[in-house]
Amino acid sequence: MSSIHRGRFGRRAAEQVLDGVPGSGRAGCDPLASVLAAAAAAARDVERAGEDAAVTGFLAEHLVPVDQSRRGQMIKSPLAKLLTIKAGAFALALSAGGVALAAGTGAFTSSSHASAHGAGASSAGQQARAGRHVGVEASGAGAHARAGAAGKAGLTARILPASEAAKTCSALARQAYAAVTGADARTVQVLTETGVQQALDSTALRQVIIDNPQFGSLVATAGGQANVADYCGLLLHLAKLPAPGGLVALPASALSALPAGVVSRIPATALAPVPTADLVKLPAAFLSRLSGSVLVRLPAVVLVKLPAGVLAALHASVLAGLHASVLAQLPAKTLAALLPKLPTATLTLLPAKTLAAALAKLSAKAVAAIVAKLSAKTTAGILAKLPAGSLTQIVPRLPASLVSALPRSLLSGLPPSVLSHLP
Amino acid sequence: MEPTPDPSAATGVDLDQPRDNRAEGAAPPARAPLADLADVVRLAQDGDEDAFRVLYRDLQPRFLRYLRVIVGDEAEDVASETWLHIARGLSSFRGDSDGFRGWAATIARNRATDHLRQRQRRPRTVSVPVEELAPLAGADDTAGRGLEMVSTDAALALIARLPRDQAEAVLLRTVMGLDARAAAAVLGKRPGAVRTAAYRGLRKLAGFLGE
Repeated sequence: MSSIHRGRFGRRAAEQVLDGVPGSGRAGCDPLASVLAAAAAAARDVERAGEDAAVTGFLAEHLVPVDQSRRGQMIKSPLAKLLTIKAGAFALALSAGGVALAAGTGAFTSSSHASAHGAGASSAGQQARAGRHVGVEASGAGAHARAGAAGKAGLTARILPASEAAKTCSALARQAYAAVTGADARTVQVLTETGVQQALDSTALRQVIIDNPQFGSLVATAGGQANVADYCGLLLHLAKLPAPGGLVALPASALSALPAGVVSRIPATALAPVPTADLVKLPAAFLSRLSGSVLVRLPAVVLVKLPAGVLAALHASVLAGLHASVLAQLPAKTLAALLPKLPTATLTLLPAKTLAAALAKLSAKAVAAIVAKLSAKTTAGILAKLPAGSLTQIVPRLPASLVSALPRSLLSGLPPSVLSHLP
Repeated sequence: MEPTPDPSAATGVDLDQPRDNRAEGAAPPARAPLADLADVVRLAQDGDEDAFRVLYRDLQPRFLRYLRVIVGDEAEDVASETWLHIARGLSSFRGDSDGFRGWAATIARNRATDHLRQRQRRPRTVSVPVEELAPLAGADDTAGRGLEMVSTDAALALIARLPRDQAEAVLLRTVMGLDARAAAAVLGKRPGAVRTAAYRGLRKLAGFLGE
């Protein structure tokens, strides 16, 4: 009771009322608390109207090719503190436990049943339509639901898409957690990150996998039972990353299919101890989605596997971190794509022969733009290594000051038509 | 009956603690799934329709109530606009569940501000039938009879009588479910300023009730 209405109402009491701290009188008989509780009372159905229109807008924004959306996505969440289920299963949790999503202030909690039924119905419809919620169903709660899921999957192991694998991982973690704590698996619906970590680290994990054939697909996707914990840890955004050995043990297909948000949060330290021989085995689809700061620390032999476009898309400041000796080992075509973004200092450090080979892949205009950044001496060294044909095209595009500083021997090979236009 | 400030409480050090820590232990089950929202947000960012629906069901009632106080009867229009912006910007959002609600509230507030600017009209016109306000009139009568005596509309109408900064501070904390820091980020103010505004708002509300 906060005594809001009894004359002694301090800031602390105000904070408690605002937070809806139990016992602060928010839902009690204090009139002010009642007003706040009413303002934040359970949502009425009419207040949720317009959902389909909003969803239409949402789908319109998200109906883009998967590759594009993935590429654009960077890490979104600093490690989720709690792990849970997704929308459909979420509704189950709501209806089963009366736990509400909108918990900040205790607002909307009492309507959890009504909304849960709505969400559940909608979700069930989706499952029937798309049949893509096997993982959710398995994670649902009851043995009955699990059996249904297993039946649906026909117990045939298959490679799961990352989103489905993540759901299956959640289900697995909950079952393992239940096994560890001796709880009824049906009551374990939400785990903290620590709980998930415990479950994945536990010795019970293996037994749960063996006892429950519906996890066969997850094992197949992770490339073996021993990889499941690491794979799930990655997918579920756990703070503890797989040991470097664990990462490279994952099958290329699983690594390639990891969501962008998972790959981009892998820190350089996770890959640093991995031997180069193992790094080069990592699929380009995985490597190319690592964050720029991780990429620049990779050995050149690994970087050469990457499409030029991936490297060229890196921010100039990231590229500046690439050592010239690493750049020098890139294929000329890849390097050519990077040249326009490289800082002058890096350009100067590149061996003239390498630079010339890369420049030869670029248009005369692009070469002129790059060469113009360099000193006359460096330019002369590079130009001397370019074929005469490209020199003829490049020289007229160079700034006059640079051309006049070039050695006569270099220019002498140029045709008179070009020379006549030079200062 | 004007409440008097409690000087000892005004310096309470725990006010700066994140609410979740403070509520630890005694937290009602309703608090725990807060972080679930982070998971749902992530799924929605990946284009999951169900997850987006969950976000909508959580946020839309909050938006409507907050916006009714700010833009009055056009709350629904502004809320629709807000959702378009959320759908558009969702993939660029980074943060946790609290951060998400704050981010969404910021969008709603910006839409409302734009709306008000365009219409060049006075904010906060909540149309509430007179009879709905009746339970508020006799505060003493409502005491002891539970919160069902005060309808949500009437409560919002009462909050709408506050100066805008106080009304917003109270709404962001109670209706949007933000802590002082998140509310401060939405309002572009310091958390202390938002706490003060909310505190003054509550005192004023208590004053209205005592009228």
